[in-house]
Amino acid sequence: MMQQHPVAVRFSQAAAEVADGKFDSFLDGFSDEATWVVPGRNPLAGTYHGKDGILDFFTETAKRTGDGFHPQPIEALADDDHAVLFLRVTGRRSGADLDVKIAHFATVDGSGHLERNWFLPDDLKAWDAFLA
Amino acid sequence: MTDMTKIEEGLKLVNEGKLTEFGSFLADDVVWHVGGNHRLSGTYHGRTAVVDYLVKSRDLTDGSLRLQPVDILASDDHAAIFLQATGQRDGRQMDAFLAEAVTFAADGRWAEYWAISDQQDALDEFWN
Repeated sequence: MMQQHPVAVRFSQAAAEVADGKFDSFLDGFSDEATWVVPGRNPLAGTYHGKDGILDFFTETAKRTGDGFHPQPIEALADDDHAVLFLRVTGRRSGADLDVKIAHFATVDGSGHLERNWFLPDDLKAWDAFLA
Repeated sequence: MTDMTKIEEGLKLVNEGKLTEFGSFLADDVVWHVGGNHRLSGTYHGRTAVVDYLVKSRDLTDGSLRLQPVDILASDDHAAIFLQATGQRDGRQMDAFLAEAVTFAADGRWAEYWAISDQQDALDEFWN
């Protein structure tokens, strides 16, 4: 079996850390200059800057949904420059349960940290409804 | 392991406008997600709908749309293609960094596809 690139291993771990609420270790995987672009037409869509910005996104999500996201990594691929994580994300809130497969893309900086982050769920309408 | 040259071959066919030939890369029931908030955004179901979408993209850009791969990551099940997309439309220029993701069917054909940029506003402006 081919050995996974360390960034791919880290990327998969990051999803597990979000699921476990371990945001300090989750954010360690990101560059200080990281950007996090949230897709769709919902109140949380837009670009978040830096680790604080990324944390703000998850904090706001938890506030809106009560319970936030439950990401489950499917597969991560990476080299020294780019990475992708395929993951399933579920969430529950009154009237808008979420169950989507997401492709999360990232660029990797010279230190192996995720820098530019952007993603797309396979059901954008369900995503927007969940974050409305 | 997915053959990366096969992915490059698919991009080459798209760049050359050989879209029906590219369609042979796609599963019959392929699901194709185009991100953003523009006229082509949305989810396309099935090979015919995806080829129609590609034809529309080509025609809207008078055949100028080009996808230049920067990096390709692939396993047996998935791939990601980071690329530079360029094109012209009605006097507008596109030069955007774009990422595409693919889930492969058991026979290696493309079963599901995602495309989005982290500079999506510029792409939306180009297409709208």
